[in-house]
Amino acid sequence: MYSILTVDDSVSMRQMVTFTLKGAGFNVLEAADGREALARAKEKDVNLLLIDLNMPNMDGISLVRALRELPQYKRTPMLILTTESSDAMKAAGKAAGATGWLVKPFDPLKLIEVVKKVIR
Amino acid sequence: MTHYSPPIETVSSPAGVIGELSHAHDDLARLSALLDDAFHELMTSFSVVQLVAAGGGNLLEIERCANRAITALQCGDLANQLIGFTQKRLVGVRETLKIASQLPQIAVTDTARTTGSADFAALDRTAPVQQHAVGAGTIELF
Repeated sequence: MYSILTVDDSVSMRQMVTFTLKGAGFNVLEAADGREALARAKEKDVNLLLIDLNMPNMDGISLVRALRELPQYKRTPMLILTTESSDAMKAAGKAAGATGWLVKPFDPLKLIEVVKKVIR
Repeated sequence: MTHYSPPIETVSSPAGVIGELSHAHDDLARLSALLDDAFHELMTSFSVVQLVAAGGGNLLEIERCANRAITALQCGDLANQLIGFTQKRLVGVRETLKIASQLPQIAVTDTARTTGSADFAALDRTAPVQQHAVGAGTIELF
């Protein structure tokens, strides 16, 4: 079973992502910020990460950048899930190594669809 | 629920204060629209579930409603971000006015600048939440 790590400082957002993806048959882990996510990802390899942008301790783009430096996460899909939709922020995410950019709120069926498309 | 918010900064001019209050007004208007839309979406979902429970629909409709409800419930996250930004703006304005109230009128602007006020250009940024409704956002793969 594929494992997905959802990273968001909003408990309700993590719950909704978890509810949606568990219902689609994925194993879902949670982290409240980039630092916690980095620690969890080092403990246990995950197949995909869904990452919020603005978080305390470590933001989403810094997390993507840090994970891409780890050999086991060079090719792991990392989707930014955020309210931000500016081209400048998207460009920063892409440059850091993000796989895609999802603007909240997410449609559950579309989220499942895109996750199935990119997960490996 | 806690949300990350940039550090609170004061503004360095009356125009800055007016700008911050205008942003706060717009963000609250957006918040109101988001809440109205979420309420409408959730009530529609509940109505369909009620109809299905009464025997007038099928399970596929319930699943569709659950998905609509999940999308609408995310307004909580959007609302929290807007509230966080508005709080930050108002505290910045309060701190600016606190400085101003302690100074002779003529010296307000210069002194506010020399007491560590942030450059207004750096502060004048919009909240990341620009949505007025809880319809699903976009997806872009790089």
